[in-house]
Amino acid sequence: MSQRATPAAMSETASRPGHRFDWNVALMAFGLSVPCGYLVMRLALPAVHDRYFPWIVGRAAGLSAYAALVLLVVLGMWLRHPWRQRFMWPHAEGQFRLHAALGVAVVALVGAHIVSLVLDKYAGVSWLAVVVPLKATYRPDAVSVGVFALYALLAVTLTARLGGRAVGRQWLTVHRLALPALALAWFHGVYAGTDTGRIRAFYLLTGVLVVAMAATRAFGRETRPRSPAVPVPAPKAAPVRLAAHAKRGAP
Amino acid sequence: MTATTTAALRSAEQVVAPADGYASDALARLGDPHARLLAGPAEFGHEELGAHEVRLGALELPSSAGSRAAFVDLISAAGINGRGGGEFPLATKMRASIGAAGATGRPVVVVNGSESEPASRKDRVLLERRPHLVLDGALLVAAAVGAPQIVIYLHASSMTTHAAISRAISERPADEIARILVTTNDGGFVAGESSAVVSALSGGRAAPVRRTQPAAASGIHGRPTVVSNVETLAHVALAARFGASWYRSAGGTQTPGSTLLTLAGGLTEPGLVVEVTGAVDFATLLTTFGEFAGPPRAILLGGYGGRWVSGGAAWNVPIDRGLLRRAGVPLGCGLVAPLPASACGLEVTVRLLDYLADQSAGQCGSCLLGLPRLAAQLRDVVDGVATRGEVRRILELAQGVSGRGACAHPDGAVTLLESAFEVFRDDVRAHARGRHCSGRASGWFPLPGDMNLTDLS
Repeated sequence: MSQRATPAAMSETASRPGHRFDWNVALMAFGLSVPCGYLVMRLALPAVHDRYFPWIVGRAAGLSAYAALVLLVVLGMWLRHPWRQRFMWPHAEGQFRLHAALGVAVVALVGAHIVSLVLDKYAGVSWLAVVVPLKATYRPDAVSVGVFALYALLAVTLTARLGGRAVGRQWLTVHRLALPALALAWFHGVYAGTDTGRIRAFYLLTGVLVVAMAATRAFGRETRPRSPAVPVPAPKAAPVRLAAHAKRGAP
Repeated sequence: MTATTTAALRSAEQVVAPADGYASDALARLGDPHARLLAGPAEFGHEELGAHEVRLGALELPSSAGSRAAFVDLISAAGINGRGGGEFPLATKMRASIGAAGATGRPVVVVNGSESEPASRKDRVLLERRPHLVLDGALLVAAAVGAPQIVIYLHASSMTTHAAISRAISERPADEIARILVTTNDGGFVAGESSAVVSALSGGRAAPVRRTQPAAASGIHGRPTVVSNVETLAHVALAARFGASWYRSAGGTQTPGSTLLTLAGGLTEPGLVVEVTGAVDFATLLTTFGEFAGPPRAILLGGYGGRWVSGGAAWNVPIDRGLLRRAGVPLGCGLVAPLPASACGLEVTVRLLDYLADQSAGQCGSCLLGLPRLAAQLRDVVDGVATRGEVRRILELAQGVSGRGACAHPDGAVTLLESAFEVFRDDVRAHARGRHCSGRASGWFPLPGDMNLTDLS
C-alpha cells in the first residue's frame, strides 16, 4: 500500500473515510445525548418503579425525537442554505454524516415513543391508533396529527434510503415533506403533551429557529463563493454588465 | 450490464458495414484538406480572420425575422446536437430561449469552452487553432435568438486558450468585440456542466444546480441562456455557410455531421484530436493512430465518467454518436482511450475513480461520501485486501450512489466502476485472491494536479 502512488488530492486517511473514527459526529451525538438524558432523568427519576414508567419514557422519547427532528431539519436546510459558503465548519462531509446520523436517531426515538406509549395501559393509544387517525381515546385530534407526521416521516425516510435506482432523483422532491412533518410534530407535541405549559419556551424557541431557517433558506441571497467566476473584459471594449440587464428584465 | 453492452455493440457492428470495408480517409487531423472543422492551415497559431474568410467566405448574420426563423429551421434540419456530451438538439434550445425571451429578459449565448474532462483536447484545439469558426457559430446563434451578448466561458488554467481567443476577438469588427465577454472559472470537473456554468455566471458557485426550468428558458439571472459546446458552435458556422444537406452528408447513419475525438490511453499520439468525417470503425481508428494489430483488452469511451468496453466487442463497431449512445456507450466528450497492453485496467480505474471522488462538488451526500468510499473499496480489491463479501458489496454500494445526486457526476463514476467490473472480471477475481498482475496504471490518462509522487524510489 505504502509503495503505491496515491493521487495528490487524496491523503491516505481521506481516501478511506469508512475506516476513520468520526470525531465530529461523536461530539454532536454526545452533545445531543446530554440534554436528552437530562430530560429523561428529570422526568423519570421520581417515578422509577412506578406504573407511570412507560408513559414517562414515552414522553421523554417524544420530546427527544422532536428535538432531534428540529436539529435534523435545520441541518438539512443548512446543507442547501445560500449562506453556507460563509462558514467553513463543520466541513460538508461532516454535515452530511451528522444529517444521516440524526435521521437514524429520529427513527429510533420515534420508535421508542410509539412503543412505550402503546405498552402503557393508561395512555389510551392502541396499536391501531398509531396508524389510523382518530382511534385514540386520549386527545384523538392531537394524536391524529402525530399519525400524519409519522406518515410524512416514513415517506421521507424510505425515499431517502432507497433514493437512486429504486426511487430515482425524485427522493429529493419527497424530502421536502420533512418541513410539513416537523410542523405536524410541533402541533402534536404542543397539543398532546401533558406538560406543554412548563416547556412553552422550548417549543417557541425551536419553532422560531425552524421558521427563521426556512425563511432565510428561501429568500436569502447567495454569499460570495470561494471560487467566483472572474469576468475578464474582452480586448478593446468595456465589458457589458449582465446584472444590469437582469435587473431591467426582472419582474 | 456488461453482457448487455457487449451484445448491443455486437448488434451495432452489423448496422452499416460498407461492402468494401472501412477506409481510413474518413479520419482527418488538423490541416487535412478533407477535414471539416479541422481543415485549414496546420502550422502553429490560430487561423486569422482574413485567412478564415478567404477560405470559407464572409459571415452573413440572419437579420430579418424571417431569416432568423429560417436559420433555426436550418439547424433543426441539419440535426446539430450538443457535442459536450449531452447530445441535446441545439434547435430545441434555441426555440426554447426564443419562446422565453419576452417573459424573462433578453437571451444570452454562452460558449462553453471549460472542457473540464482532463484528457479531452477537442474544444481547446478549436478555440486555439480555429477560433473564428467558434465565434462565427456563437454570433449566428446569438443573432437567431436575439441575444445581445455572448459569454465565452473558459477554465482558468487554460491561459493559452484565453490568449488565443482574445487575439481572435480583437480581429473582429468593433461592434462584435463589444458584445463578446470572456470569463474564466477555476472550478473542477463539474464546473463545465451547463447548470454549473449558469450558476457561476449568475454570481454563484460553479457547481451543478437542480433546475425546474432548463437554462434555455431561465438561465443567467433568469434570462434565457443558450449554453452550447465549442464544437457544436463550430459546426453551426459551417452548416450556416454550406447548408443542412451538406452538413448531413458527413458522419454516420445515426448522427449527421463530423465528430471530433481526442485520442488517449495507449495510442501513439495521446492528446491528438481527430475528426471523423464518415463511416469508420474502431479498428481503423486504432490501427491508424496506434500500434494495435488486434483488439486491445478494453477501450475507455466518452470520458473519465464514461464506460470501459471490451476491445473485441467494439473492434468493428462504427464510430457514430447515436449508434453508440443506443448501445449504452455514449461518446460523451469524444474521448477514445484504449488500454495499453502493459496496463492493468483496474489500476487505471482506481486512479480515475480517486480523481472523480475528489471532484465532487460536495453538494449531495451520496456523491461526497459515496464516491471516496467506492474508490477506497476498489483500492482494497486491487491490493488484494478486500474480503469476498466486500467485493460483492462494492456493486451494491455503487447502486445506492448512482442516480441520487443533483447532477450526473456520481452516475458517471459508478458507470466507470461497474463497466470495469464487467470488462476486467477476471482481473477482479485474480486481484481479490491476492494474485497481483504485473500491469500498472500506464497509458495516457492525465489528471490535473497529479503530482504526489509517493512511489519514487
